[in-house]
Order: sequence, then structure tokens, then C-alpha cells
Amino acid sequence: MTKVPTPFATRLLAVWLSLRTRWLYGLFLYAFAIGMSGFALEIVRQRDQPPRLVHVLSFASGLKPNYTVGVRNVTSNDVAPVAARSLTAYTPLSDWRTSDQIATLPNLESVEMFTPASGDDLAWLATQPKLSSQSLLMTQNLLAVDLSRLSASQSLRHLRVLEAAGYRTEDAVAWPPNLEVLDLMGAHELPVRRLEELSRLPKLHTLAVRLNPRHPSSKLPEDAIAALTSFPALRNLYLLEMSHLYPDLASEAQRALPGLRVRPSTYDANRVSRLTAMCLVVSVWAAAVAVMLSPQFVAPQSLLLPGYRAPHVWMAVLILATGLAVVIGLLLVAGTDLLTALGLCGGTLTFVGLMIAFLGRIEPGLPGFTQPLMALPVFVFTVPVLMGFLWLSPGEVDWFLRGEKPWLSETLLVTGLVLTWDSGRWLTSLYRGVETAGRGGCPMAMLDFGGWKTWSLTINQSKRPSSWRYLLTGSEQRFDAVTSEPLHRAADRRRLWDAGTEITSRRAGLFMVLVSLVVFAGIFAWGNFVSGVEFEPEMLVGGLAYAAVMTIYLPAMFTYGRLPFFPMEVLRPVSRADWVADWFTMTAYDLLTPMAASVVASVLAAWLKQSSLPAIPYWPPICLLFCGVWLSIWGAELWLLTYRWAGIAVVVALLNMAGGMFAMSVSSSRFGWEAWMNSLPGVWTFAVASVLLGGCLLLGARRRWLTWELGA
Amino acid sequence: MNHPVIEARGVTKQFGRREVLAGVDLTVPHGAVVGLVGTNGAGKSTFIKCLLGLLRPSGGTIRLLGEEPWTLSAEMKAHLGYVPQTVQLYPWMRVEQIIRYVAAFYPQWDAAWVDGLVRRWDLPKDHRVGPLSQGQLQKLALVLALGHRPGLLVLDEPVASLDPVARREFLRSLLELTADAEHTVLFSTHITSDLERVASHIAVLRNGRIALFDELDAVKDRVKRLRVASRADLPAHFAIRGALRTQVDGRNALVAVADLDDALVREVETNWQADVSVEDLNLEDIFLELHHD
Repeated sequence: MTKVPTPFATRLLAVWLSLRTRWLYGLFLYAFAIGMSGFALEIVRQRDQPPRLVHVLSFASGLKPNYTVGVRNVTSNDVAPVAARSLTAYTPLSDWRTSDQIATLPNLESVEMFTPASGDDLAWLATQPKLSSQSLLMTQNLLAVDLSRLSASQSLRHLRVLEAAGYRTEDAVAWPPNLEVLDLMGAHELPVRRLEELSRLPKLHTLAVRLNPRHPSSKLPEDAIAALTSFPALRNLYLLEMSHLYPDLASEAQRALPGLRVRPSTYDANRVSRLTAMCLVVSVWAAAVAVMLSPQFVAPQSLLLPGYRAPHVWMAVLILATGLAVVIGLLLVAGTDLLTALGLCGGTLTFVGLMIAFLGRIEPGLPGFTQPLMALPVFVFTVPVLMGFLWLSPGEVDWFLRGEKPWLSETLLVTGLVLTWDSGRWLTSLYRGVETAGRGGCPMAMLDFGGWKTWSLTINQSKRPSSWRYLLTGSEQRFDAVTSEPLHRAADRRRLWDAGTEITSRRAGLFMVLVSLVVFAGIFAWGNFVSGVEFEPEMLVGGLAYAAVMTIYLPAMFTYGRLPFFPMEVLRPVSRADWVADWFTMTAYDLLTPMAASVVASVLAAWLKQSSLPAIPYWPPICLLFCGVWLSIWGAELWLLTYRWAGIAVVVALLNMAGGMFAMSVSSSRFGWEAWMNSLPGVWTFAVASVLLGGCLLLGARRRWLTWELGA
Repeated sequence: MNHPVIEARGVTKQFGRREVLAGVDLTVPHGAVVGLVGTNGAGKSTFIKCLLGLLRPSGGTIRLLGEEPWTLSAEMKAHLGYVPQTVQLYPWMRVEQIIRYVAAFYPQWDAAWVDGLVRRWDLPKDHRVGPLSQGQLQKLALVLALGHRPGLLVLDEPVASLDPVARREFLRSLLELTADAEHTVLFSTHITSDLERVASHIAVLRNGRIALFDELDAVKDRVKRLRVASRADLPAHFAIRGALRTQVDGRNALVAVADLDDALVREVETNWQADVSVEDLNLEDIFLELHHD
């Protein structure tokens, strides 16, 4: 009897049905579909809206546009808080001076004036020794001679003049000599001779101007180009772009001025925000795909079962291609350049490839550190870092989306394709590779933490431990000391339990925070290089607060890894109640460390910003709120652990990302302390509710642990 | 100790709708070495876990060392040793480290004896636990369970992965431990020859209940096989009082009985006009006869 071969499509369907955790796949695909639907709706909703004018200096110069009154330290101790709040953006500067309030501001750094300012005001401001940044808005009556009175200032580095009659005239203007950033965007077309005047400023590195080309060409006038090339320190040129008339003005200017970084002064905020949302959704999807792929090929049947490999490979290709096709389509509909859309897909593939590399490496770099546990931080940290880039430099991102960085798109595309090809090749021979290397027993399931750990130890048996590894594991002398001490107190016993974990969550957290320090420093350096964003200590401290709070998932993860040993440990000479108390105490300490570090860093960041700290009466409820959040996380993690559900890793990681964002927003004062400050009962309500919730969760968790069938 | 080491009364355990233990009654006296046997899925591990407080029984009562297992005190746990069916040990520790680690919990740890066991069982002290073979892991788990010379040692199929040499060494150590009749052992196994070497009692778990529990010698004395040779063909309904299994073939029959005495032999000879010879059974045969449907 001749056997009828099974159609390939049927085999593909069989592969889909045989996926070990297809529910997880389904869940993420569902999330992907929901996310993409929202994304598509957003495109339809926003497509007719004009690009949002976000002034170039909001991301180029470090000015704080959210300062309603641009007087630095106005909410600090220099001015009484009540008086400070009574000042508004419309308070005339003369009134400030009359009330002597502004004179009491020794740390005055920036001023933003909406009302017409007189030459006297400018002359007075020029005498302020610390004034480094000034914005003059709607000041049509300022003449060249008025503007020139600022030239007495030696400290003024940033100047933004939205509208002034003075610099449109033929009259010469004397500019502050140490000016570094000058924004004249509000002006009509700037005379070329004004450019020649500005070219004498030795430190001017960023200039935002409006230079109209000769219609209908998109090219700048030759004399303007000649003037711009004569600036000694100019690096960034922002041009107000009239997109309907000269859509290629910035691109043409960039070609004419290769030594400068020429950018349009506006960007499509909708396009950037859509990309941000899409990055988040695609990252989750790509991570899920990566998590699912390795187990398909690590089992012996990937080599031994006839007809196994082709449908599995094609299923992976189909899943990747379908998702990427959707992404490309939506990006194109959103007005993204084709090459850029392809480049972004290359970036997605790179992410998938990196995840696979981390998830299923035959040579794990960190002995004893399970691969899935390593992949989680890759995901948890990559996405926020990506978001960080998007937030730090939206103008650059918009520039990229317009297709003005083809080299980046091409690099991303080629890297993604090469890495995917290599991952695919490596994946399909994964089992052979594992066996050839004498490293059998590679676990099938990616969430089999115990299996990965044992496997990792097996293949690292002969390796000599490197000295830096002690950062994670602790020295063996420490272990010896703990195990040689007699058990007199509960604390001794807890130290002994602790010694049963190779890498404590505290050490892993410290390691992650140190890595984050390097990463955030790199981001800020990059932001400074690309967009001229100045490094501010509070940004780095805020980043550390974010990193610290991100590590609160570690106690749950490490305790999860300890679960297989619980049945034996509960039979050691300790009552069950004491055993539960020991673990609750240990996890409390493990959680408190990163959370306290995060709070300290957040407060430090807020203090560095000087205007973000809440008033004293708000400290008790805020501290109580912190305790409530801590109790809630503590209780929830311990409660979830008793269900032994591996998906807890994903849930906790996602919750942590949200927590990290929260910490970031607090430290960067986007949280809106001002709103909280006006609602003391609201803060108390939140605080008490969080404590009650935390208490309930903790009591429930303790009850679960006391009745937990560890032998099940 | 006056009270039994283990006292289980009507213990039941259900997982959802599936009933694994259907009323286990077992009393293990002080100093006994009890072999717990049963087919795969009979509920041996479940019963052991209920005994140790790792599972909560659905019904019935258990007293372990005189206490409720779920709330066993630290003092009683110090006298308890356990080797699970699937050994889970900290893979990153070296053998000597894990011994020191476990020893730190027990004030009465017998380091000299443990050193001797490690040498005898050829365990590599400087190797990490993770890469050890299953047999080596089981040896190590046994060392860790024996190190504090527990008053009650509970072993769930402890020798399944051991080679014959290691099994002999294990049995020798067990005999050393129990020589003073102060230590009680309950261990489940499928290797009945091991039981015959060390067990003082045997408990057979069948259909969620203890089908047989007695001293090993008494069981061997009671459970026998009768070879019946009649002068005429035996009927299809041929039956003997207390038979575990009956196999009829013409004029001959093989009958396993649970409780043999001389009266029963005479009764068969008389009723069926047959010659009856009595055969001794080893423990494996007894196990097979008990589980023959």
C-alpha cells in the first residue's frame, strides 16, 4: 500500500498545534493584534492633523519649557513657597523686581518672559552672574539696541528670542560673547548680514533660524551657505521648514553643508509617538517569538524525526514574516520611508536574534546564571533603553523616519538579516551542536529554570571561575564562614538559607544597577553627541532610580528558582511557621534594598532638580505610600510564587517595567508633584489604601505559605 | 519512646476527583525497618509525603514521632531523615560544600561517619553537584539523610539508580544504622531482594490501602503456593479458602494462599482427593501473587 504524503500545509498546522506553550504564543499574538489595531486606529485618527510644532530647543538646549515661570529655584528656599506660587507666567518682571523677590534669587539661572520686556529688564538680567539661559517670547517691541544690552552678560549661554523687531533690521546687534545656543526661530527670514555678525561668536554651536530658499528651489541662497560655513564652532543648524513649500529644505541644506548637522526645527510628534508605541508592542512580540523558537530545535526529534525540520523552519519564517509585513504596512501608511521601514524590521530581527542568542547559547558566559534569567533582563532593559533613545532625541528619530538616515536603515536591515540567517542556521542544528560539544541534556523548555541551571553547571564544570564572578556569587570563603557557624539565632538560620542560593537577588540587583549605570551614561553621552543635550546629574540619578526599582522582580525570580528545594528544606530542623517567617524576612530584605535605593535615588534626583520636592507635610503620607507599595509587591510576589507558575516571570517583568517608568517619571518630575501638593487628603487616601492592600496581600501570602503543599 | 513512630488511621488523599489513598492504616513500631511495596501509581510516594507533611491528607489522621506531621516541631525534625524519589540538591555547590551546608542545620551531625560513607561510596568531594550522575546524586542524598543518624529514616525508592555495588554498600550502612534497634526506617522500593536483606516488616499498598502489613518472616511463613494434583479433572469453579490466585489445568492446580496452616492443606487433600505440596515463596513471588488479578 502506497502511503499518501501529508500535505505540507497540514504539517505546518501540526507544528502550530504542537507548540509546547502555544497559549503563550496565542496570548502574545493577541496582544500584538490588539496593539497593532490601536496603532492603526491612531494613524487614521491623526493622519489629518498637522505636525506638532515642538521647538527645537526643547530637545537641543536643555531649556525647561514646562517652567511656567522661568526663574530657577523659585520653589526652593530662596523664596517662600506661598509667595512663589503666587507668581505666574504673566507676572511682569518689573513687579518681581519691585517686590525684591527676584533680587533674592542668588541662583537665578534661567528666565522665560512672555510679556514684552524692556531694554532695562535685559540690562538688569545681564548683571545676574549665574544667568545662563533666557527665553524672550512675544517681544516684538525689542529693538536691536535693546537686545544689545544683553551683551554685558558673560554667563548667558542659551538665548531664545521668538519674536523681536531688532534683529530683522539693518542695525547691528551686540550678542552676549559666550553664547552657545541661539534660537531665532520666531523671526521672519534672517538677513544674511545677521548671520555674518553671528559668525563672530566663538562658542556658538547651535543655531536655530529661518532661512527661506529662493522659490521654487529648495536650496538655500549661496551667500547664506557661505556665511554658515564661516562659523568657528557651529555644529547644529535647525531650519524652520515650510514643508508645503520646501519639503526638502533641510535635506538640501544638509547636502550643501556637510560639516554641519542640519535638521528641521519641527518634527512630527505623532509619527514619533506611534513608533514608540509600536516598538513596545513589537518588542513583546519579538521576545515571545524568540522564546518559542529555541525549544523547537533543541530536542533530538529535530534531527531524528523525518520531515520535522522544514515545517518548523517555515512556521518560524511565516510567523516572523507575517508580523514584519504588518509592521512594514503600518509604517508605510504612517508616512515612513520604505527603506526606514525595512530598517526597523531589520532592527526587530536583530532583537529576535539577540534574544535567541541569549536564550539558547551553547556557551553560557555566566556560570550558574540561567539562560532564561539572562534573557529577561535583555528584554526588560532593551525596551526601556530603546524608549529612552526615542524620548531623548525625538527630532533625530523623526529625521530617521523621514528616510534621512539611509545608512542607519541599511545597517539595521543588513544586521537583522545576517543575524536572523545565522540564528536560523544555528537553531536548525542546535541539537547536533549541543551533542557534538558533549553538552547533552540541554533543557527543552525555556522556562525550565532548574534544568537550565543544571545544564549550565554541567558544561562549566571544568571551567575555572573568573574573579569577577564573585561579584555575583560571593566568595567561597563567605560560604565557609556561614556554614561553620553554629545556629544560635533565627538570623544565623536565615544566613544559612541565604547561602543555599548561589547568586542572591541583592548581588544580581547590584550587578544590574552597575550595568545600567554604564548604559545610562552611554545614552546621555550619545544624547549629548547627537542632540547637544547637556548632561545633568539628576538624569543619571533618575536612571539609577529606574534601574534599582527594576530589580524588584529578582527576589521573586530567585525564590522561584529555589522552589524545587523547598520540600527538603522544610524538613530541616525548623518548624514550618519559622521556615515561613525566615523566607518572608529574607524576601522583605531583598525587596527593601532595591526599593530603598530607588527612593533615595529618586529623592536625590528631585533634589538636584530643586523644584520637584514636595512640601514637608507631604512626607509622612508619601513614606506611608512607599511602605504600602513595598508591602503590596512583597505580598503579591510571595503569593504568586505558591502557584509555581513560570509565567510569573513575564508578569512580574512587565509590572516592573511599569514600576520603572513610574520611578523614572517621579525622578524626572513628570509625576506632577504640584498636583499632589494641592491634595494632601488625596495622598493620604492613596497611602492608606496601598498599606491596606499590601497588608491583605501579605496576610494572604502567609496563609498560603503555611498551608502550601510543597510535595505536590 | 512509648508511642509508635508512625501511626496512620484511615488516611485518604485525593487530587481533584482522583483518589490515590483510600484509607491507609499503618502502625510502625519503634526500631522497625519497614519495606513499603506496591505497583507503580499505588500511592507509595503520596503516602510518604503525607507522612512527612509535604502533602495534606484529605482525610484520616497521621502521627509522626508523636506529632501532627503538618506542624512537626523543629526538635522532631532533627530526628527525621528523608530521601525523595527525585533527588533535588543545590547544583552549584561542591559535594563537600553541600555536606557542610546540611550539617550546619543538625547539631548531632556525625561528621566521621559521613566521611566514611563518602569514601565508601566513592563520592568526589571536590566536584559540583549539578553534573553528578543520577546514581551519584542518590548516594549523596543518602549520605545527607543519614549524616545526623535520624531516629526515623524515610526513603522513597532510594536505590533505583544505584549500581549493585552501591546498593550493597547502602544496605550495609542501613544495617549499621539500625543495628541498635533505636532507629526506624520506612522505605519504598521495587527491589524485593533488598527488602529481604534488611526489612523487618513489609507493608503492601494496593488500591489505596495497606493490603498486607506484618513482619517479613511471618509474611513468608503465611503466604505459600500449593501445588494440587487431583485424581480427576478439577472443575472450573475450583476454589480454596483464602486463595490469592488459582490456576487450574486439568487435574492440576496452582494456588497461592495468604494464610496457610496445616488444616487448610488437609482440607484440600480431603475435599479434592488430591496430593498437595507446599512451596515457599520469595518476596517477589509474594508481591506478584498479591497483585495478580
